[in-house]
Amino acid sequence: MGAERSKKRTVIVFAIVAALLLTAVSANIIAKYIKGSPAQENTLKAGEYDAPSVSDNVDSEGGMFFKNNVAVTVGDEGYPVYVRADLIVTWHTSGGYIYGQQPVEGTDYTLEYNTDDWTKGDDGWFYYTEAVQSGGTTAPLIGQTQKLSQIKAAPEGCTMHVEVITETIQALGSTDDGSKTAVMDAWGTQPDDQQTEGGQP
Amino acid sequence: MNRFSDIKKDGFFTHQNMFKAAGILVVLTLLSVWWVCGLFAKYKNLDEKNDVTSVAAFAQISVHEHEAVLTNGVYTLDTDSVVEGNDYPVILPGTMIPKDPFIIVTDSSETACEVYLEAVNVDKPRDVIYTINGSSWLETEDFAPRYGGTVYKYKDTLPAHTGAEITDILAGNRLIVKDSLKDKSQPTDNSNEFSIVFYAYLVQAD
Repeated sequence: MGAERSKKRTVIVFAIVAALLLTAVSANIIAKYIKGSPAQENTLKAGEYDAPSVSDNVDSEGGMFFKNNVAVTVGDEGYPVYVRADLIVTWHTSGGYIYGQQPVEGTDYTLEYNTDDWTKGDDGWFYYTEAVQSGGTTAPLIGQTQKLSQIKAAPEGCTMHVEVITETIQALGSTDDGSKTAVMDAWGTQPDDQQTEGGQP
Repeated sequence: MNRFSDIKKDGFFTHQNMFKAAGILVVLTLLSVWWVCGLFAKYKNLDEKNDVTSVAAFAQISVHEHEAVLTNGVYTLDTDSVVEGNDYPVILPGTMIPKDPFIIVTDSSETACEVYLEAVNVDKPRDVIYTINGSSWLETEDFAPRYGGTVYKYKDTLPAHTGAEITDILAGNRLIVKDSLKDKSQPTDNSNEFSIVFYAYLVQAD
């Protein structure tokens, strides 16, 4: 009985070993050859947004405040942008608070600005009429010979302040359906009156 | 005690035993070939140099594209410059990025071959999209992707001793950047650096 069992075990072991050997041979015979290429890789990164900066000159003449030489420098992020600016004119108290009444153009101050390169929209923003290259500076909004000038005495204890707020937006690209440029979609206007397509020329 | 002589003496190599062994052998072989080959032995990789020298001549395959040049935020392709890959350091929402990958196969294969492409996206945002040309490539599960990408099979089988330059890979030869893409300064899921990687494969045809 024991011998019989031993014989059966031997037969089975022999069969398993032979099967494995045959498998190894068969695998090589029926295997296909494959060759792969090196990687073809692109790395991509979204353009970043860097806030623009403003340069200006503030002074006074005969006790009256004025501001001129106002220009905007855009971020150096590798793509052109459109620029718009707003002038926030306020009275500030000696304690640094904003006076309740806002100065009125034509009554409390006058404004001369560069109409060759900037247009004033109905929304009050001043739009630079062409795209600015990465890291570039606009022509002045208020030039050297122009001014935003206080013409009426300030309320008691107050002085005039002018804050320049600026925004930029990519000058390339459009909405997914191609119906609007990026600037038209964001600002509702095309500062240079030209459709611009981004990416491919 | 000599075990072999004992076995022989007891009639191990009888017809009955050999017949049994042969039957078991056939069944086991069929099962293991089916299982092992399906899992492991389907492809013999020729990427190792020593493999190449020991088998019949097989072609070389590589993926290239023309160099992308950035000027004032606009990318164009320099058709005089072929590269292994491009960097696009500034991509903007609502734009299209030119990209023209093409595959080159040398004519040194002694067997007919199939061409496969594996497209791998690494951290690619949903707002950047591309399409593999469906008239020339079909998504397939012929073999598992090596790098976790999507595998496509080229429509044509390359005959033996036939090189090829396959250019119809990306639909429109461009990536589309949707207007919803945002840079990493804004709190949405986007815009860290990401990669798009293509691998091409040459597989012995049936």
